[in-house]
Amino acid sequence: MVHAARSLGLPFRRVSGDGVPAERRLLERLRAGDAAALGEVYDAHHVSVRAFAQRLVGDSGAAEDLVQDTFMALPRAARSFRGEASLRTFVLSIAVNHVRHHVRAAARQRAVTARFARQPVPCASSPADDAQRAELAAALVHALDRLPIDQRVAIVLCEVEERTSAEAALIVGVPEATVRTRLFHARRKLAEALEREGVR
Amino acid sequence: MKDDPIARAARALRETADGSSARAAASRRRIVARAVSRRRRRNRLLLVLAPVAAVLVVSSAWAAVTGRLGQWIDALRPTSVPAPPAAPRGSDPPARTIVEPPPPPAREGPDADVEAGGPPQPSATVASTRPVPPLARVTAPSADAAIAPSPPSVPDEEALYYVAHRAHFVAHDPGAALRAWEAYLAAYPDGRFALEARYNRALSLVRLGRLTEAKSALAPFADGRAGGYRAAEARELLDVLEVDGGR
Repeated sequence: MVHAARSLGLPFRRVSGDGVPAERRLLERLRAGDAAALGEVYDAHHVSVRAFAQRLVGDSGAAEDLVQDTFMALPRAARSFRGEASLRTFVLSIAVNHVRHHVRAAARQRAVTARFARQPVPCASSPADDAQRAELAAALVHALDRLPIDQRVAIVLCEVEERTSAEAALIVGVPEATVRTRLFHARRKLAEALEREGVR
Repeated sequence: MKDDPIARAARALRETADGSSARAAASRRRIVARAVSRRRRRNRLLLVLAPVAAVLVVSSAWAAVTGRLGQWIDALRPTSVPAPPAAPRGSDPPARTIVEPPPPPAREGPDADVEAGGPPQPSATVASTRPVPPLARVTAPSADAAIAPSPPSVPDEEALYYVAHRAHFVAHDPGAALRAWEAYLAAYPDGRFALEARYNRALSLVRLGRLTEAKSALAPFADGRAGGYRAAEARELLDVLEVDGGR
């Protein structure tokens, strides 16, 4: 696992002037409960965490809740973090651990909305391809709702975020082979679901 | 790749959900504020718990060093548990909180007085009927030991108390005991054993027949000015002395 993380160039890449890895010092401050350190971590990683949350949950409100949960849990979780991966990977793994509740809540919300009408597609500015892209994204989110949470996470990490299965394994905390198996089954189900949604 | 619907949908989702949010700044404020309040809460808890823990540790250490820890533990034990026997040398005289039975004073002086028909004198009867206190029982079972005691090298206060205790309870010499109790009280009027010394001095006065002095020495015990120490015995003794004095 450590080797996999290092091969990705993940842990402690940034080194400060005095030779102490910047992330390590940041982690030490986090463990000590330094709120400013938490702010720094948020500034550095909130976009990637939020993007992952939006893609995984499919709802901006639920995604924002997941972002907050993730960063609020970070100081406590940092105490057990041994620096095997980068801080970003670690923060994403916290998000994965908190995602179940949010995905279920968002999926329920989408199911209720779908009874009355199609999930409203975000307004595209004017070009037709923007509208089409938004419609495609919504179709994928609906299809993801039919997948088990583990397969959903695998699809978002590897297909949507284009991460390698090794990195996904590091984030999820399972062997790489498990990620590939989940991906295989998820792709098969997704293809059927997307076809039902009219995406060909 | 373009023909793969999953890949197209994934790309669409990636481009649509890019991690931007109007609530990002608000979320940051909320997260940081939560962390600050958590830290404050933890610090407040530490502020309360740390002094309490420090006081507990210091007081336990102090009690252990001064030997009071054992007394506290003994005090917490049920009262039915018998007190541990006195130390052989008499260096552990009765503590004020623990009532050690001294020789029953009410019977000796007045009874002897009545039997002798005069002032009480230290007699063989008095000496033989006196219950041997634990100290004497352990240290000096024989008369020889009582005659030639060798005071241990103890602090002055305890040495004085030891001498008086030997004279009173072992040698049964009220004259020597009276002098020894008075020597102790002169040196340590507020000493650890001052209360016992005053009471035993009064008993010595009774035995010597100095009844007026004995009465005034017993009065503080009888009327409770000694905190209830030997109050009942003192009252009983005073009653006997009154009756005897009236004859």
